[in-house]
Amino acid sequence: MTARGRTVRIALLFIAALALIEWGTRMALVPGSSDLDRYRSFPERARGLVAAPAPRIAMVGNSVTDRVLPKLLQSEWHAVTGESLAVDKFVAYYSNLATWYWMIDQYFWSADLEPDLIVVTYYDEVGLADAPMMEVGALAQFFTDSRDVWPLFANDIKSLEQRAGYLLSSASTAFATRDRIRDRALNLIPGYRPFATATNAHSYEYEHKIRMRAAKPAQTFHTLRRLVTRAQQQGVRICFVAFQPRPVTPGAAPYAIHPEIMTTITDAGMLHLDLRDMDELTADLYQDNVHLNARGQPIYTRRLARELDRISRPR
Amino acid sequence: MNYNQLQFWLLFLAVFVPYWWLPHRKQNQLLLVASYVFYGFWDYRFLFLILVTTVIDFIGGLGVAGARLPRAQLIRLTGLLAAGAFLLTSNLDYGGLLTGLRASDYGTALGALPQSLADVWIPIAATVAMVAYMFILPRLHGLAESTRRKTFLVISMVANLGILGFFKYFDFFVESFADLLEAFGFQASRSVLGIVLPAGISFYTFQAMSYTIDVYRGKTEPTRNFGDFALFVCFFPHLVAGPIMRAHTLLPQVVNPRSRSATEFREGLALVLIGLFKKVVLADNMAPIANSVFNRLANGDTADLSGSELLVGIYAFAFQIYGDFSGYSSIARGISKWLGFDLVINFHNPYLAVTPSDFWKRWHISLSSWLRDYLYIPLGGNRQGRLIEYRSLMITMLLGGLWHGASWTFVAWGLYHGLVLCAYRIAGVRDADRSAQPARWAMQVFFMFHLTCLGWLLFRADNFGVVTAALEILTTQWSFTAAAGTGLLVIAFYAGLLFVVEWLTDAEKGLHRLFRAPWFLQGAWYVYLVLMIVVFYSRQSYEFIYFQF
Repeated sequence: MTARGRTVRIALLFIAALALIEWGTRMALVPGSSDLDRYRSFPERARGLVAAPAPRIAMVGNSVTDRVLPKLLQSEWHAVTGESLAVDKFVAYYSNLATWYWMIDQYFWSADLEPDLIVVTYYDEVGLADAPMMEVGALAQFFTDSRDVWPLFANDIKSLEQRAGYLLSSASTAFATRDRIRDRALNLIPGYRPFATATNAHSYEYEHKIRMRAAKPAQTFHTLRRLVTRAQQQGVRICFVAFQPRPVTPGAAPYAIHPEIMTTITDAGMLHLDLRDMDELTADLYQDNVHLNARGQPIYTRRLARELDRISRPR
Repeated sequence: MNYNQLQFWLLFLAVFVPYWWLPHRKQNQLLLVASYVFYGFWDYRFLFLILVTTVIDFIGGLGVAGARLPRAQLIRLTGLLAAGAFLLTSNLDYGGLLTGLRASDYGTALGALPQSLADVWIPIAATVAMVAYMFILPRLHGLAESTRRKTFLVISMVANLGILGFFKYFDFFVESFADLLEAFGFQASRSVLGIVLPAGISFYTFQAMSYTIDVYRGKTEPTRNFGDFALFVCFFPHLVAGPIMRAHTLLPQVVNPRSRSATEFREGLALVLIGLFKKVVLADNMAPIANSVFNRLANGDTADLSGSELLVGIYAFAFQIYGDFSGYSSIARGISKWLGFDLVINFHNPYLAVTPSDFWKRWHISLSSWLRDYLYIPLGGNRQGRLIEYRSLMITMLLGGLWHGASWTFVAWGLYHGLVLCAYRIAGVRDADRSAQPARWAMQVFFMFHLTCLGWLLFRADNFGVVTAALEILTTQWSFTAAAGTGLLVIAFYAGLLFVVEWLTDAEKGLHRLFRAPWFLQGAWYVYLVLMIVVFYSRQSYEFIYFQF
């Protein structure tokens, strides 16, 4: 066989392998993934939520928001107000404010759907500050479309790597979901999940020390401003909830909220709920530094229902 | 700008697209500009150091060979050095200058210029030194031949080692001297300067020094073309982490026209893919495992750390540093091949080494051979008796350790390898033949790998406290835990197939065996590499470890 013929065969094999993986991802991985399946259900669920009688609350966020129990929130709300409540969660793991902006835009505002209240939860002092976009794959496949590319690149995805990742993710489901493929493959290794959790915790501490030595860039809040401005235009209120992470040191002061966050929120007529210091959420009610366990979730959900009712309705 | 960043590949594309359309001299000019841009991304001020090294060794090489530079060229070099120093080191506010000039706001433009003598002392000193050197040069050329040759060599060595010593070791020696004084009860002032280490300084300094030494030894003809020599010093694919190229290998490739071929391109692609795999898949996924264990050791958080888990952490570091460094070298060789250059092989399956001598013929080969040729052999090598041989080995390995970093743990790492080399030579251990004595070969590989890992413990530890804590755990807290088992499986997942391929292709250096494999196996290997790079790239990107050296 000539060198040229050999090269052509290798190239064809390579292309065939990529095509097979793309096909396998679309046929097997996406339908079998609860996360991806959930993302695909968001448009329908957004329509269903807005079609329900008011008040209607959309909770948009990441894994911390996923710890809220919607049915309990509804029953607690009913117990307090005597009214029924429509509520649904729109959760994307490994996401931050920049992703939530596009989720709200995609499922509500671009579709001309307006819930009465959108709840966004954050849990540390940089929670609402501008940060690099996370999970570009899900953003490309589910939370944005071709019309969003330029504003997305202008505002949220600024690094070359992420822009390339976004474009590739738009074209290939396998590329977009590669983190899931990775996780599934690694989870086949016996004991991988606890090993990775322990390793990451110690490694994070090491990385954190290195980061602390580096100069911290000044915090900016462009995404937050864009979000509240857009909410104003749409006539929708957003309630930002400052959630309490696991109280490590008893009596320690809660994390600081940047003054610009409060100014931006209140100037735009949005709501802010400060739950940074909840006595009832003790350290044993968390499964890790920020996520509540099964005993903590109902306690927080009940308190959230009462606080949302208090803050969101004019007395 | 790293090989694992898109930014680098865009720069490379900007070079590669026009590259083969250009005539040879223009190719060199393009590469020189690209190399300076590449290095300038780290810290443009340190380009001045490269310029100084380049000028010193360019003049030094010619001086050793007895060739005089025309006065006009010397004046141009002085001007270049002075202008370079002014533009790169004098706190010029380029943003302010551009804004002022664009808006014809000359007040702003003037304000952007250096404001005090402290801002311009480096350009002034560089100009004065260069002018003084220019005036001394005719006198140096007037010396007797052997004196002249030695004088130029000494000037080059003192300047190169002076720059390297100041930027890399000044603070370390001040601290160590203060520690020593305090140990004897004296009060010591710790006047460290907090010097930032220029990326790759050890690599390009050693390369430039080897040029002058080789000219002195008559192994290399000096070049009269400053541009060619500057490209030899700063050729970007290997500038910050090697391989350290010798003048007689790289300079002819710079000076003579290069040709392209499909074979070279294919080899380059294979090297880049393997290199990226080693860096972003192997090294970056091993890093959290190693970091977590060494972080626990550093914090004293070792109550529930078993010896087996610690060993997994050390294994992880062994594969991290191998993937990181050999990955860089592989990518450097790959993209050099695309540009028509052939860089030396820097790694050849080092964890398949059977003895320490074998290991150093496989690990960082360009540094090992540099130390052998310019240090070990001049110190006496192995032809002047056993004692001289062991002394030469110990000094070479100790300085080799210090080359890696300004820390006593690196010195200890070098000493450790010196001792291991001496011990093997004293014991007369011979390399087992893989095909004739497979069991003995496997035992030797296993044992040598663990000796290397013990060395990595010294290399990775922040201080000797970490080393002693680790040794204590390895010897007293031994139990094989489930976490250690999982750790081993994770390492096998990332490194297993690579090592099978390395084992199968170990008989020959380079990629020849791979290219002789059936096309479907070769294709499957590429599919595996690409998929691993795309899917199992580490979410956390780590800088190349050897950039700090």
